[in-house]
Amino acid sequence: MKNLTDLEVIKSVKKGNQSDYEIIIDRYKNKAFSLIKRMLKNEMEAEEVLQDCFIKAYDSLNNFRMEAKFSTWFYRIVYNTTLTRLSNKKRKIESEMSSVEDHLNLESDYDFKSSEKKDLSEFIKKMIQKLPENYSLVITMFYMNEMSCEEISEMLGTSVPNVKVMLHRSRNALKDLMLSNNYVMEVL
Amino acid sequence: MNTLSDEILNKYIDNELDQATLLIVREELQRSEEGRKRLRALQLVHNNLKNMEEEAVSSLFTPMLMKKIMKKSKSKKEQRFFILSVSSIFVIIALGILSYIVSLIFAAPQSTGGTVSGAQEIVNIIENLVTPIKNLLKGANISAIGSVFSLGLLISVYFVMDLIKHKDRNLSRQH
Repeated sequence: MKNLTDLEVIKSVKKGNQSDYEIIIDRYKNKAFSLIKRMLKNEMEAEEVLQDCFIKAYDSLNNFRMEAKFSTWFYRIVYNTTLTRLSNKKRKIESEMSSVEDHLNLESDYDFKSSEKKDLSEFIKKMIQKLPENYSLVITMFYMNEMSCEEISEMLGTSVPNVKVMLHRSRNALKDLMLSNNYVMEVL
Repeated sequence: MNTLSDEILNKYIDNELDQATLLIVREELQRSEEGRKRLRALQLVHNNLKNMEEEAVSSLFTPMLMKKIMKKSKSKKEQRFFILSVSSIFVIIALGILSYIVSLIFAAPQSTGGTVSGAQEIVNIIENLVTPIKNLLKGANISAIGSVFSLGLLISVYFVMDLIKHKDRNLSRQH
């Protein structure tokens, strides 16, 4: 059952096998959670919103066109639900998503401790949190949610080149930090 | 154009360079130690991001959510069943009343012999229709109709309250 594609599982759920929805939940819960947590910056709230997203998706399964990609459809629900939650809390993400001309100056507010330098992946994870929200979202969507630049651009309401610029700048910012802290020399 | 700019190196990693630029970049990389170092760093970032671990939700997340979904869909089914039952009762009652009226019309005495004018015939038909309704609204019948209306009123109140409850719940979840 676990090897079924998303569409096969959804067909089964639509036929009345509601318990099969569990497969979808298990498949997407962590990826969607990462995205929500990145946006809300609150674990408890992120889990609550994630529940809402799965319930919304379940209730709207009849509106899902089977020729589309389930993941894109679901992530759109996730993104919009989280944005609604954010706007309800008067923390509009747009303020940080205004332009790709933002300067990525991460060094100034990051305190490098020798213990943190031990684990590169941990270091990168921490640095992603320091990126402007739109940059960290693009990184999460691209690498963790395995979305294409086209899908991300559609979701964020920006152009594909803008998404690529954000992606490149995020990587550059992380790369510059690694170089300035001699990470590459230590790791390679 | 800087052949080893950050933009070019990013495109190199994403395999977005055309064949001609790719060759130039490769040549340049062979010559430049600094360029190789930057590319290695960028690749390291790219690989680490690719292998980044997902944030994990609590282990009880799925069973709790499934329980919620099942409960919700069960209550939806029950609601549908309830509406169906109530509407069936109403239809049966309406059919009963209708058949009662029809039977009274047929049982009413017919006008006897002779030719009846068109207007008189219409008056007779109206009388035949009104008399059973009058009879229906008399005495014990009125209490039966009152009960049916009370039942209808109660059901409407139930649905209105349910709607208000749902709205309140949605509002509290949003805040």
